[in-house]
Amino acid sequence: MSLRFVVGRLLQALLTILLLSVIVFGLARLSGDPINLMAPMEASPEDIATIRASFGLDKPLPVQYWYFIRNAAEGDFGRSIKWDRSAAGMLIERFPATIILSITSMLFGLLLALPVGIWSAVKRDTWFDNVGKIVALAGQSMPTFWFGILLILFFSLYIPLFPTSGYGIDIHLVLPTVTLGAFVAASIMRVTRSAMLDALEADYVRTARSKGVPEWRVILVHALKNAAIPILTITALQAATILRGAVVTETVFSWPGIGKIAIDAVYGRDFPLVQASVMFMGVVFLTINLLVDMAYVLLDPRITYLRK
Amino acid sequence: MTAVEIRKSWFGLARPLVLSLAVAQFMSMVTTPAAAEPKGDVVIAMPQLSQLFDPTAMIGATPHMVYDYIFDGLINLGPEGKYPALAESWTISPDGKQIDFKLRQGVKFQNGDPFSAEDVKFTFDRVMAPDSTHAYRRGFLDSMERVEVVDPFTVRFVLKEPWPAFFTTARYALTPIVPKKYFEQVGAKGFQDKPIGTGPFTLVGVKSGEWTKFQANENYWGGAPHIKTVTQRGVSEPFTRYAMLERGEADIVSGLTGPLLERIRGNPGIRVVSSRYSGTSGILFNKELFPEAADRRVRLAIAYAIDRKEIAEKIQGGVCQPATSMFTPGTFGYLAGLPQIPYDPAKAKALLAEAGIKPGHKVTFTIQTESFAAVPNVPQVLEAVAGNLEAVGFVVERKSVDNAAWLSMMRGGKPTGIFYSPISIPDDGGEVLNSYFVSWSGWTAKSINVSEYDEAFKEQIKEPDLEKRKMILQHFAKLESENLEDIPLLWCDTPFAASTKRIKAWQPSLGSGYHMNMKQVELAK
Repeated sequence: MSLRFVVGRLLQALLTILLLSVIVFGLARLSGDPINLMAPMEASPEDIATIRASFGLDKPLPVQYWYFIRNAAEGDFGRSIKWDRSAAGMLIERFPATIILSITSMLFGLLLALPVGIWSAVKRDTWFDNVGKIVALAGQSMPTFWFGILLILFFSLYIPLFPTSGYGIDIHLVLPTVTLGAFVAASIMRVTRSAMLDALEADYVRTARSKGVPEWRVILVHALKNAAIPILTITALQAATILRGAVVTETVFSWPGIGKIAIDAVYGRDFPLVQASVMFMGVVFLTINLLVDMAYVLLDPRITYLRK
Repeated sequence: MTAVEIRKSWFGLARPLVLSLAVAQFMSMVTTPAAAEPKGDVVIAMPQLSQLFDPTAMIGATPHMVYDYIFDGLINLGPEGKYPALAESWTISPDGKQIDFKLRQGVKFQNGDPFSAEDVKFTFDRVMAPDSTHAYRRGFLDSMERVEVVDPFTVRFVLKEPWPAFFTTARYALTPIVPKKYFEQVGAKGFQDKPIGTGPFTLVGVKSGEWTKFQANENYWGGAPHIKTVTQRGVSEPFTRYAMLERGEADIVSGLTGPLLERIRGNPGIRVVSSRYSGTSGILFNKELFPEAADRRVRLAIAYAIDRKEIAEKIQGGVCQPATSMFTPGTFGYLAGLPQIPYDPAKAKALLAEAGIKPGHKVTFTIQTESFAAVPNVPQVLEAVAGNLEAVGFVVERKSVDNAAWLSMMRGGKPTGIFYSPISIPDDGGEVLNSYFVSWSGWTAKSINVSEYDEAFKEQIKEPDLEKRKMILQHFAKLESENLEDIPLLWCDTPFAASTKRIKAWQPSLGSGYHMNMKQVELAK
C-alpha cells in the first residue's frame, strides 16, 4: 500500500465531505425553516423576523454557508435551535449509544448470517437452503420500523420478556439489536451464500478435496478465505448502512443515539443539528469505506491499488 | 367596577360551560395545601419534548408544557379555565387604560427569594425589550405602554388602548413570571441551564432530546403537588408510547392517534383523559387559485360535501366533534345554537351545478403529513376531506407537506385552492377573528375581505365592558355562520391516556393540550 494511495484517498474523502456539506446545507433549507415551525401561528411577521435574526438566519445563504464551514472546520457546528445546546456536543454525547447498538447488531447479524450463508451454500437446494433464502428475503424486504414494532408487540407485551424501549447496556439492548441485526443480516447472508457457491466450485477447492483435506477444512479455510472479499465488502457496506437502520431503530425503541436526534432535527428543521449529524454520519461512512479499501490490500495481495 | 366584580364576570363569561360552584371548589383546591408529603414518580411519554426554559424568550407555544411546572403567571390555566394565580385580584380604570394587579403575598421562588412586583415588571419588560425574541412581543407592544411598580405587591399596566383580551387570551394572561434578582445574577444562558420560578415543580434534570425531570416544590403557595417527581420522556413512535403504558413503563401518554386510541379504549387498564376544546379547525379557500369560492353557493356546497360526523367518529375516535363555528364552546365570544350543516352530497352537487361548476373541476388541496397543534390525526382527516370533495365531482390535486413546509407555505401566503387550518388554544374569539377572518390576516391567503369583520375586530379589541365585547364577537359569529367564509370542521380535545392502576382521577386544563395540570395528579393507592 503506497503512501500515494493513502493520501489520494484522503483527499478524495475530503472533497466528498465538502460536497456533502453543500448538499446538506442546501437541502435543509429547501423546505421551511425552524422558526416558521417553532413560532406560534399567531406570532407577527416582525416577531418572527426578530427571532430569525437572532439565529443568524436572516443573512444571505452564501454568508450563512461560509459561517457554517468556517466554524465546522473548528469543530463548532453551532447551537441546536430546538434544544439550545451545542450540536456537536449533543452528537458526541449520543455517539456511544449508537456505537454500542451498531456493534451488537453487527455481531448479531454476522453470527446469524455467516453460518446460515455458508451452510446454505454447502447444502445448496436443500430445504435448509430454501428456508435460508426465504429468511433472507423476508429480512431484506421487511421495513425496519415494522419489524421493531412487531418485536415490541410479541416480546414486550404478549410475552413480557424485554422492556419496550429506553437505554441500558443490558436487556434493553436485545430488541433493538435483533431489529437492526436482522436489517444487516439479510444482505450478508445472501452474499455469503453466493460467494461460497463460487468458491466451492473453484479449482483450488477441487484440488484440496482430491488431496484428502477434511471437508470442514475445505469449507472453512480453503473456500471461506477465498470468499472473504465479497463478504467483507458487503459487511463493510452494511456497517455503514447500519447508520441508516439506526435512525429508524433508535426512533422505534427510543434509543438515545444520533439516529434518533437526527430524524428529530430534520422534522424540526433544526439546521445546526441536521448539518452536524449528517456531516458526522458522512465522516463515519467515509472512514469505514477507507478502512475497507485498505483491508482489501491486506486480505488479497493481488489488489495493490498501484497503477503502473 | 370593583376587582371582585371583574373577577366574577370574567370567570362567568370565559367559561360558559362551568357552574360557578365548580369554580369555588376548584379555587379552594388550588389554595389548600395538600395534606400528605409528595411521593411517587410519574413518567409521561410524549411525542415531542420542549427544553427551552426561559419564558421571556418564548419562541414557540410548545414550551408551555414545561413552563407550567416551573412557573406561575399572574393568571394560571386549570381544568375550569383561567384563575388568578400570582395576581389575587385586579381593578381596571374607568377608561380601561390602566390595570392594577394586587399580588399574592408570601410567595417564594424556588431558590427562596420572595416574589414581588419587581419580578412582574422585570418579566414584562424583558418580553417587550427591543432585543426580545418573544413570539408575542408585537401583541404586547401594540397594547402595553409600560409596567409600573406601585408598591411591593401592586403592579400597574399602563395601556395604550383598553386591552380586555389580556385576560381571555392564554398567550398574554399566562406569561410566566421570572425572578428579577436571580435572572440578573445568572443571565439568560444561566437561566436556561437552571430556571427558577414560583411554580409547583422545580427542574432537576435534563437529557437533551430524551427526558426532562421535575421534582415537587414542597413550599408551593397553592399547596405541594401530590407526586414527588415527574419525568417527561420523548418517544416519537406512537406504538412504543402505547406499549410503554401497557407495560407500566409510562403512567401517562400523550400524542394519541386514531387506531391507538381505539386500542386504548378497549383496554380496561387505561383511562383516556382530555383537555377539553384545545383545538378548532376549518376549511379555507385561496380565492386566487380557486376564484369560484367567492360564490357563497360553492362554499356552502363544500360544507355539505364534508362528512364531519363520520370523520369525528371514525377517524378521531370521539376526540373531536363536528363544529358549528370556528369558536368552540370554550372560546370567549362563543354563540350557542348555530346550525350544524349536515352531510348532504346530493345537495352539494346541486349547489355546485347551480354555481356553474361542472364535475371534473380541478382544485388543489393541501394534505399535511403530520398533525399540527391540538387536532389529532390530521393526515387521515384531510385524506377523508379530499375524498368527500371527489365524491361531489371535484378532481382533487393533493399537495403533501410536512409541518415545516406547510408553515412556510402558509406564512408565505401561498396555500392551495382549498386548505385546512387549525387553531390551537382557541380561548379568545377576538384572536380567532384576528387569525382567520380579518382582511389583513396572514392565514387566509388574503382571501377574506369582509368590512363587518374588520370593524368587529377593531371594536371588540378596545371594548372594556366584557358583556358588550362578548356581544360583538357573537354578532360576528352569527354573521359568519351565514357567510361561511371559513367552513368550520371539528372541535377537538387533546386526549391523554393514563394508567388506571397508577393514576387517580385527574383533569388536564381547559382549552390547551400543553397545560396538563400535573400538580393535581395523584397516584392511586
